[in-house]
Amino acid sequence: MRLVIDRVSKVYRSGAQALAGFSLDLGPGVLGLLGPNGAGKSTLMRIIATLTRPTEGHVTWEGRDVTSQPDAVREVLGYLPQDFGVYPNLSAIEFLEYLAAAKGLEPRAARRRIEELLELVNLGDARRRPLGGFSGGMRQRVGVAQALLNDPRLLIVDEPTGGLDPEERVRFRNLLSELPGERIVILSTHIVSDVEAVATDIAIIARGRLVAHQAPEALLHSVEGRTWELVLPSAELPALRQRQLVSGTSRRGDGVQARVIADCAPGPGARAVSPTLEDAYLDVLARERAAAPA
Amino acid sequence: MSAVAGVVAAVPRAATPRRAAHLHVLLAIARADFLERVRRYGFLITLAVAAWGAHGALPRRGSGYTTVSLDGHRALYGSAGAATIVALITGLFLTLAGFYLVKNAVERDRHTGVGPILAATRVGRLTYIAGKVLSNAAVLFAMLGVMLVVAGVIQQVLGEDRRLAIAALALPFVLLAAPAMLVVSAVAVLFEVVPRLRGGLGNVVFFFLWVWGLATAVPESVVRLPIGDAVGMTVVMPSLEQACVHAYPDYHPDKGRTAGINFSPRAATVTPFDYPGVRWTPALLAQRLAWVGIAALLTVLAAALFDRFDTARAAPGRRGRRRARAHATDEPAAEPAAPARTRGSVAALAPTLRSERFAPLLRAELALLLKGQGRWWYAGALALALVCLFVPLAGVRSVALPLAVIWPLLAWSSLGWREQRHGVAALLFSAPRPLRRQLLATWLAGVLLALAASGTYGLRVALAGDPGSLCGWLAGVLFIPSLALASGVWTGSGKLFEVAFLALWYVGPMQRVAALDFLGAVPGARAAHAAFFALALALLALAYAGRARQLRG
Repeated sequence: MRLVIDRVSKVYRSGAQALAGFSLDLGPGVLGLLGPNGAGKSTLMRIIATLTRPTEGHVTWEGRDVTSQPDAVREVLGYLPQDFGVYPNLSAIEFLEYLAAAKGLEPRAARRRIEELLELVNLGDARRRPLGGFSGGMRQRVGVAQALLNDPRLLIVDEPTGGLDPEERVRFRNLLSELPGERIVILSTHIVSDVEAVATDIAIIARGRLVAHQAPEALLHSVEGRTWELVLPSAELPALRQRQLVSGTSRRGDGVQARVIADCAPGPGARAVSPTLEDAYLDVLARERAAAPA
Repeated sequence: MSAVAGVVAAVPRAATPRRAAHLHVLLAIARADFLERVRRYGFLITLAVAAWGAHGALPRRGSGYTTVSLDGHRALYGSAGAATIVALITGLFLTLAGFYLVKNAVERDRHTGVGPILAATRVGRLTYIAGKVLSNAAVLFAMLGVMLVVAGVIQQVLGEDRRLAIAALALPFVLLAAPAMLVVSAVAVLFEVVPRLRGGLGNVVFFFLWVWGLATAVPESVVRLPIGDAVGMTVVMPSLEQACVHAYPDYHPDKGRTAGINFSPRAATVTPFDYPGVRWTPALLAQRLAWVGIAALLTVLAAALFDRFDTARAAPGRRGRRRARAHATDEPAAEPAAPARTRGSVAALAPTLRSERFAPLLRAELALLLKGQGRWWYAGALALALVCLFVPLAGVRSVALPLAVIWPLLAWSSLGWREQRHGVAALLFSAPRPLRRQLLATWLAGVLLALAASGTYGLRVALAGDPGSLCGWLAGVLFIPSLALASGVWTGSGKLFEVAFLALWYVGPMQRVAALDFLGAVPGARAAHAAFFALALALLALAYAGRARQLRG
C-alpha cells in the first residue's frame, strides 16, 4: 500500500500559490500533517481526495495517478473535509444511507455498519433526528461516521477536531489510534496535541512546501537540550520574545514562566526541560521563516 | 476597513444627531452590500446583458420584430422616443429578472455570518432593511444607467433624430423605470425576511405577482389600479397614441397595440412618428411617486417582519412542533452527553461489501428529492394525477396537465446544486463514479418524479392511440429534469430553472403556444416536441459537462 505525492504544485486562478513542489511517500500508518493556517494543508488534502487537480506533479495511489484515474482512490477513500455540510431534512441514518449508496456499498451491510458507527461516535440516541437540528460538534461526528462508512484504506481527515469539545476530541483520537489493519491515515491539523498521541509520522508544511518529515521521536530529538524554562518579570517578556522563540508562557506569583527554544540558556535561572512536540513544531516553523527569502 | 467594520463603526453614538447617524449607518450598509456585489465578474456580465437588452429594445428596420408598436407605427428614435421605449421594455423585463438578481442581500449576510455580527450592534431593523433595499436599488439603478447610455448611443448611431436632449433621455428612466425598480428592491427584501417566501416558493409566488402586475398595465384590463401600473405603461401609452394619431390620423387603438418582443412580418414595414415624450403633469408625477411610497411601505413591513437573524424566532411548522413534542420526552438535551468510554470499537464494526447495483442509489436520490414534502403535497399531486385520468382530455390538456407538472417544481429546482448549497459536494464528489453513477441517478430521480406527476396523462394518450401527444409528453418528462439539472449545475442556484420553467410553462402549455409546448399539451405540435426532446438531451449533456468541470476543481 503506497501513496506517493510527487512534486505537486497548485497555483489558483487568483495567482496564489498553495503548494510548491510538495513531495511525500507514504506507507501504512498515521501521518500527522502539521502546518499553520494557510500553509496549503487543505489544498493537499483536496488534491489527494480527487477534488482539486494539481497544477504540476502527480499523486499516485498504488501506482495509479489519482488525477487521470480518480476512481482508483475513491473506491478506498474515506474523507472528512475541513468544511462540510449535511442535508438538514435528513436524519443521521438517512444521510449516511444516502452516502453509502453514493459510495456503492451493499445496502444491508451498510445499514448495520451505520448503526454501529453512530453508536461509536455517540450519536445512537440522535440517529433519527433531522440533521438540521444538530449542533456543530454533532455534525462533525456525523462527518467522522461517514468517513469510516466504507472501511477506507486511505483515510483523510482535515482539521477534524475543530468543532469538538475536549472529551469528544479525546474520543476521536482514540478512535483513530484503534483503526485496525493496513491503512494510511492522513490527519491534517494545526493543533499539535491532536497528532501527538496517534501519529506514527509527522510532516510539517509551511508556505506550500514540505519542511520536515520525521517520526515524532526524531522531531523531539531535534530540540532535545534546547528547550528551557525561566521565570521573569512580566515587563521583560516582550523583550524576550523579540530575542528568542517563546513556545509558551504561564502566569506565576513571582512573574511569568516562559518556555524558550534556544541553543543556549536564554537568561539567568533558565533550566533545561524535556521538549514537547509543540516545541519541536514551533522550532521547525521558526527555522523555515528564518531561511525563507524576505 | 472591512465591510462589517465600516458598518459597525457607523453605528450612532449618543453624541451624534440621531437622524443623521441612522442615515449614515443606512448608507454604510447599502454601500458595503453594493460593493460586495459589484466586485464580482458576474456584475460585469449583468451590465453587459443590460446593455444588450437596451440595444434589443430599439429594433432597426428589418430586425423582424417590434417592441413598442401601435398598429405598425412606432416612436421615432429621438432622445424621448428611444429612452421611453427602453425604459418601458426595461420595466417589463427587469421587474422580473431584477427580482431574482437582487433577492440575496439578507441571505448573503445570513450565509457569510456577517448578519449576526450586525445584529449584535445597535443597528436598528429598519436601518438594516432599508440599507438592503437601497443596495438592491443601487444594483438595478446601475443597470438603468447603462441602458440610458446605450439608448443615447443607439439614438446617435441610427440617426433618426440626432438631437440630444438630456432631460428627455433621462426622465423616462428616472420617472418610469426607477420607481418600478424601487418596488422590486423592496419586494425582494420582503420575500427574504418571510421564511416561507425565502426559497423557491417565493420565486414562484413572485412570478405570478409579476404576471398580475403586467395585467394592470394593459389599458383594457379589468385589474386597474388608481395609481396606474408599476412600469408606467398606463402613463406612456396615452402620450404615444396621441403622437401617433397626430402623425397618422387613421390610427385607432383597437387596431393593435403591442409592448414586448413581438415577431411579426409587419415589423419590416413599421413606420415612425415624432414623439416628444410624456408631458409630466402633477397628477402623473403623483402616480409615479405613489410607487416610491409603496416601496417605502414594503420596506417598513419587511423591517417589522425581520427576525434580526434570530434563528430561534423561526416558528416551527406543524411537523416541527410534532417532532419537538416527540423529542421533548426522551431527548431534553440538545446534544447527547458523551459517555466516559467509547461504545464499541472501530475494529468490531460490521464489514462493508461493495455493490455496483444502481437501484439503491436511485432509490436514495428519489428519497432525497421527495424528502421534506408534506402530506398536503402528496395529496395535491395525487389529486392532479386522478384529474388527468378521469376528466375529458381537452380539460386535462389546458389545465390539469400543466398544473400537474408545475406541482413538483420546487423539488426539481434543487437538482444539480443542492450538493453545493448544503456543503455536501466534497463528500459526494470524492465517492466513486460521481459522474456516471451519481449524476445519472440524480437525473433519473427527476425523470421518475415527472413520470409520477403526469404519468396518468401519458397513459390516457397512449390508450387513446395518440402517439403525437405521447411523444410530446415523453419529451417533457425528459426535458424538465434536464433543464433543472443543467441550470442547477451551471448557475449553482435553482432560480434560473424556476424562472425559465415558469415562463416557458406559462407561455407554452398554459397559453397554448404550440412552438413552446414542451408537454404534448397542444395536439399537433410535433416540431416542438421533437425540438424539446433534442433540447432535453442537449441539456443533459450540458449538465454532464458542467459537473465534469466541477469535478476537475
